[in-house]
Amino acid sequence: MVIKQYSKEELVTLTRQIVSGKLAGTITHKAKNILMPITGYVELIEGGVSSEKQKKYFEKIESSGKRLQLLLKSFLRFSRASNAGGRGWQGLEEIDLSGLIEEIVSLFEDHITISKVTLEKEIAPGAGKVCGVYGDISLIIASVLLNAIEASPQGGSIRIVGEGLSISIDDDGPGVSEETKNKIFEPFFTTKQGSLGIGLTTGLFLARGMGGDLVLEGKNKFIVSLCQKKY
Amino acid sequence: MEKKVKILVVDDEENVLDFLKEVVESQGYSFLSARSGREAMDKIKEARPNLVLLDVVMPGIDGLEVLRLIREEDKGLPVVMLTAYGTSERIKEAMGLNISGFIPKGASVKEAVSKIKTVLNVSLK
Repeated sequence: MVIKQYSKEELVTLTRQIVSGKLAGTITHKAKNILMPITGYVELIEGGVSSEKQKKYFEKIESSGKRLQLLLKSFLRFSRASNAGGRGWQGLEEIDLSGLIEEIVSLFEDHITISKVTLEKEIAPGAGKVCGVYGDISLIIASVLLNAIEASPQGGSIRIVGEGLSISIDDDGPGVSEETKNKIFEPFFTTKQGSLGIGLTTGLFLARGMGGDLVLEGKNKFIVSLCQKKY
Repeated sequence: MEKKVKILVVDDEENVLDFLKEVVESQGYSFLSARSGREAMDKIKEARPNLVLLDVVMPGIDGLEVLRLIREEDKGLPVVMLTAYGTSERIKEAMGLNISGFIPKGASVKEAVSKIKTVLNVSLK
């Protein structure tokens, strides 16, 4: 049997495709929830309503339309983001950490609900601007978050905290054992059925490519650290 | 005076509740809402609705768990599940808990109203 050797760039692309694929179903769920009133209000208007109601329904259609547009824009931005792929300091930009966390978390909202876990989000006032590549940072956070969701028991909770130049994600699942601690960043190492085991490898590679790091603290807490903008 | 038929809609999405309020009230029914499973159980005990429209996917206690709790209290209360996303296992599970049907979230107003009327006609006979 021949096992293809993946380049780092291929691993990044594959990881993004896997995460996007896992999110696609729940994004569709969310989109259907937003779409239902849009098409429904149109039908009610067509059936004949007072001008006052018509105005109210048009406002609802407009706000739902904007919400749907934002959701799809965020998903496309994530799934089609170009990868710096560890090209070092090339293409780095100033990124607002809190905005990026909000955007990624909003993509995961329904995935979290369907997985029957809860997410606590905390963005410290000091969470600042970091120097990085949007596509790379969003993929690191999404990969670690997805791991946490999959490792959490039903009813479990996950915490994502943005502070200073770092983001930490921890869950109340069983955590990483002492025996596997040294292997979790190795490509294709996994303890989960149906998982390729490349998310953390990709995360580490991308974080280091931007001058940052991805580490495991204790058994359950992953910390992504990034750099400040260089002038 | 004839009492108004009460319909409880359970969904965590505010925009879905707002919309279904318009649909339910346009048919002359009284609208009740709950945004979580716990709130739904309280409303059922307090207001005794004639029909429950219940979303499957909700944070905390999900629709199927609410359905189980309803069945512990009231085996005959008509429940129609609202689905935007459902696996065949979940649908099979709900069918086993004596539901009156499904309204997919992509359904037209006409289809949703028709389903509601059919279920109420049977249950209010």
